Amino acid sequence: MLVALEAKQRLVELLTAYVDGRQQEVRVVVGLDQASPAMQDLVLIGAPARVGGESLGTVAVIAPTRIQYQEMIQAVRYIARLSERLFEVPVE
Amino acid sequence: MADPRVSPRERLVLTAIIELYIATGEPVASQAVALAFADREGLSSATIRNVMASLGEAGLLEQPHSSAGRVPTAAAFRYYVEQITQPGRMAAGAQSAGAAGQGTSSLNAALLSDARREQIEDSFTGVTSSNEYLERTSHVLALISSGLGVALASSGASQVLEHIHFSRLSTGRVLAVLVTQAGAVLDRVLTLDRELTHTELETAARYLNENFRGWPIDRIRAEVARRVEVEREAYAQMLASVEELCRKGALTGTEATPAIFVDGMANLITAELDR
Repeated sequence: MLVALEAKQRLVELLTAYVDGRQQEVRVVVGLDQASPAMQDLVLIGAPARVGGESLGTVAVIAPTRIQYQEMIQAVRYIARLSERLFEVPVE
Repeated sequence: MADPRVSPRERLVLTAIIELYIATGEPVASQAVALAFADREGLSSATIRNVMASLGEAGLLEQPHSSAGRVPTAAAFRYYVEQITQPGRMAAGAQSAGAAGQGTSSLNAALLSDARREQIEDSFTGVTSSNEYLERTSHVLALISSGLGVALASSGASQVLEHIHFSRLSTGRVLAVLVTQAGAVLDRVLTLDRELTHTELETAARYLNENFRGWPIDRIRAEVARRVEVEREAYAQMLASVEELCRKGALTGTEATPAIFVDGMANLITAELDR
């Protein structure tokens, strides 16, 4: 449990460090060795999810560098933009 | 950062190697690259070997100890990502590499395959809250990435109450310890305008823990304010009705005819008769 919490805390730090809530596009970070030497063969693909200009959160994939970049970048972008559509206030 | 002096030919070969490596997970030998190009782009086996050597010198390829093949370095992946995220810049290269069987999709479309899009859409069916959205996001991304799907609520929304505890430090000062479900422990010293007893603090903590465990903290604040408002309104309304009832005489009866207790009437009557 404690390990799980620590790992979660680590992920929070990682996402906060690499993905800016105001950025428009998908951020790709290859090699997370700055976060931890053990993570040098990992890649982070993340994007902020927003609703009406307000940040809802950050969505990301952390995977081995051997990843289908095109597809994952597009999937992350698609899901990040989905929040706008899911929660937008309908204009009457 | 990626070497900006990567020549078009080097870019072709590097892209092919990266995509072969992604597809197979194995170090890529020059023969495999030669096979992928099949002498197109004027790339003979000898040329490819030379290009791979210079890519190695540029720090874009490395050779694992146990293999004759090469694997792309982090710098190579960075270069690759830069290329594919800048629309149009690598279209030709990616397409020829795509012909090598890597199935690179059109760069400018920036769209997912229909099947993938449907899969994503389906997994968000019925989502109404941002927490649900984030939870499903982590699930879907894990499913399609063979990696970790992560979704982090932005700082305001991410702090979900697990437990809160108050302890009285000194006159007017209280230590609040708040544990969020993410595992963060937030403690702060509060300076109060009004002294609260130990029992009052315990009652307050119990109220918060029993009613709001699992709630985002900003929503708790809003909800507590709302409840106070509702209570105050209900109280004000109750007072108003009582006031109205009183004004219309509910409590005035006793003042109009003060209660009076009389005994001995019979004595008077007797006295009258005696006269």
